[in-house]
Amino acid sequence: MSFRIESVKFKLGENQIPVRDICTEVDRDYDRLIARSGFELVHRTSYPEEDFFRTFILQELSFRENDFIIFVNQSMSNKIPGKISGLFSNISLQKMGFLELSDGCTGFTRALLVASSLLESPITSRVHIICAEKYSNFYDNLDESVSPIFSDAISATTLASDGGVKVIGSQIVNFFGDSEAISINRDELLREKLHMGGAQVLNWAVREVPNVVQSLLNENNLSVTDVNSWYMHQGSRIVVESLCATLGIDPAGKFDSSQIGNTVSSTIPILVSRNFDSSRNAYLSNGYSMLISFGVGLSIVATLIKIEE
Amino acid sequence: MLTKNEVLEAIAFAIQDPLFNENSNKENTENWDSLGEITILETLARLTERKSDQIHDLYLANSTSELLLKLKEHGLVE
Repeated sequence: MSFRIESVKFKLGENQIPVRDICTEVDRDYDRLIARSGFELVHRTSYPEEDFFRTFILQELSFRENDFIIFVNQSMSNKIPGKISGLFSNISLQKMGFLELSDGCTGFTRALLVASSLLESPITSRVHIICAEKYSNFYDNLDESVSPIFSDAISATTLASDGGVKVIGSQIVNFFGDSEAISINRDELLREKLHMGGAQVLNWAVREVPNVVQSLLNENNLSVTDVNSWYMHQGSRIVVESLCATLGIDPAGKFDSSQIGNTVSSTIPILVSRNFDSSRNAYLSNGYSMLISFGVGLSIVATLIKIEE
Repeated sequence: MLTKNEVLEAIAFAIQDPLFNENSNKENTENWDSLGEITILETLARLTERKSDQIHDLYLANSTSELLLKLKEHGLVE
């Protein structure tokens, strides 16, 4: 069973913050940082996250009866009655499927697997994967290991059951023993603070991600040269370029988020949205595409898709 | 296999600290901060043709002697 990517939309936080300004504030060498992180601009929203997300949903999305929504988020604190009921309270459709997925950087690729299965079932013929994070709730400029990296963002990827995109295979590998590497902890004032062990995450990603990708390719009797397009989680320039070096693929264009920032689960949807082929009226190029996401968990989800449109 | 001096020179250049030596550690080296850790990992990866990527706890090294020991244990430095 295959599906179609009907649309991919996204919105970044309305405040564009030059990383150079952050570096000046925290007395950090901009050139030294930018050579590794690659992010020149990050985006944050001043709005409460629920308002930021709801505005995008109301303005950009239209829903039909029997649509299915997968909402990927970790930053919202609303536990009961849950995140979806608040965000969608203005939407009158009652007959829609909903699923909340608490996941970070691997959220989109994980949701894509669920969406693909749903579209094979009689439950729905249209799935919206909404990825939304406001990580700026958990740091300020002085938190220099995260403030020049992350951006607030929401994205919506709508999939329909008619089309030429097919999930060929996927591998999900978890390293929960290293979960503290990206985590929320409380500081001495009991404020929630995002911690990221940059060196630990880099060390882990460059060691483990290529094994997972290679294993997925082997499972499908393919090699890296059979893959037409690579969509890698944009954790930083250095991690993307290191993965390219280990996998033996050309790094040109693989890090493409210098003006975007690390948008967590929206990273891959944003890359996909920028690869719209107007001559085919379709997202992504024909052939094999590898979607590689990794991070919070720590987890890796690599998904191989084939496009024939 | 790399020599100790090749490793020290490469790191000194990468973190822009000409005084970096075998007695350097996170406490006495200003540029060995969170960004410096990443720079050192990437420098070693390039120097070892990415073999150092396979050292599970390399990021935990807090001093040059610990770095060199881990590299030596994996047969990457004399």
